[in-house]
Amino acid sequence: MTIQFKKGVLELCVLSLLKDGDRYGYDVACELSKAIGISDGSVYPVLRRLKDDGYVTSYLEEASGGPPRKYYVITEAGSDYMNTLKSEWIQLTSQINTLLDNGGQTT
Amino acid sequence: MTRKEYIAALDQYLVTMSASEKADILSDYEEHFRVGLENGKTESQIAASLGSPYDVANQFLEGEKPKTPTYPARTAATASTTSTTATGQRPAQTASAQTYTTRQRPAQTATSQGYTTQQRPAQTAASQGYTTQPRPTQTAGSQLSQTTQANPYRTAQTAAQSGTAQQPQRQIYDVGIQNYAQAQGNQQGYSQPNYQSQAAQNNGGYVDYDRQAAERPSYSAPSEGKYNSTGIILLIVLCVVLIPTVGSTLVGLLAGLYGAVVGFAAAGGSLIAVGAALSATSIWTCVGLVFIGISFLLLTGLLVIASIEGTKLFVKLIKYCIKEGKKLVTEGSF
Repeated sequence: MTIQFKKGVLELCVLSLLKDGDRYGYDVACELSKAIGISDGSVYPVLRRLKDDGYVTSYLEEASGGPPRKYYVITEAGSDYMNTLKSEWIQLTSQINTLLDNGGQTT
Repeated sequence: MTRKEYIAALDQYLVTMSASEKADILSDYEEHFRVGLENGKTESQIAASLGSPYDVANQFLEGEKPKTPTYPARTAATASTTSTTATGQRPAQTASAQTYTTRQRPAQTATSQGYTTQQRPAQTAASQGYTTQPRPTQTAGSQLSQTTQANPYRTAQTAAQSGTAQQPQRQIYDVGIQNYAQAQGNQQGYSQPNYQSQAAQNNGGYVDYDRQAAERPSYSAPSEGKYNSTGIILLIVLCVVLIPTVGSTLVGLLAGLYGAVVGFAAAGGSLIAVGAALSATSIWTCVGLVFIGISFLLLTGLLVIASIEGTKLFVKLIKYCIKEGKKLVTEGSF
């Protein structure tokens, strides 16, 4: 799989996590590494890219007794983008599944 | 690795980022450590789960597209404490770029027959190329991206053109590699123009960067308010010597000519004609002389018009001179 592709998948995962509510970076990283086993550090580049592209914004919120945490929020454009990525993902996986089911056989 | 070490390493790898971008990124990782510690983890545990600072930095720099000209090589980086001078790494970088290109060559000339087998290495090479892309020098970088871009498409195209037998593989390839185009197996999607524009775009990015980088330290744009000294001197010479001389000569000539012609023609012509007509004995001589007088008048009228037009032209010339003079003053040339 190309870098492009991997990026797309990671973005999809992050956006899906944010869809259900704002999260701070550590939270996103933990969820994502739990779910798909990537290293925590890879989440921040994705978040940054999404932010640069306007799919995500951030705000600071006071944490109890500590310095503020940066929360990430999905934007409307981010939701649209997520839906696009999602349908692409579904299409791709179904195509690959078809291939895996039939590919090895000589017909 | 402690928090401090991790942040320092990341800071070091993000050399090409602006200070504000870097501060923003590092603050995210600081926060990550903070929250991790609050959750009862140790600094080394957190650092380990973050992944190597090198990889993380690389992911940030990838996101920045081709904005990364030089980049500390990994070998030096893992071993490094302080020294990241690029001199030692340069040869290694170009070398890797070169091996890369030569590796690509066979794939490029490959016929459609070899498509399936040859495509695969090219593809892995391509993705490798992306990861290491920031490292080669600029020129190598743009070359790299072009070959990277060119090969899959070109080979895919030859494959597509050569027959339908290749179709299934090609489609899989498309689906796998392209996440932006709708993977309908549509040949148009990867037709030449598409590839070209993309390569051009990519290349454009590099060139642009190149230029910016080259210009930034030394380049100063000629501002509106600045005057060119040679231009001013030239203009003064023009004003003092040439324009008065040529101008007055022209004006004098024109005035003299117009005056003489108009005066003579109008007065002389008409008087002669009328006088001659009155004193004429034959009616036909009279008609003829009047006709000559009218002709003179008409000719005079024409000359008046011509002189007016001539004056207009002269004004235009003056205006043009003023315009060019301004240009001369600001730019030093016509």
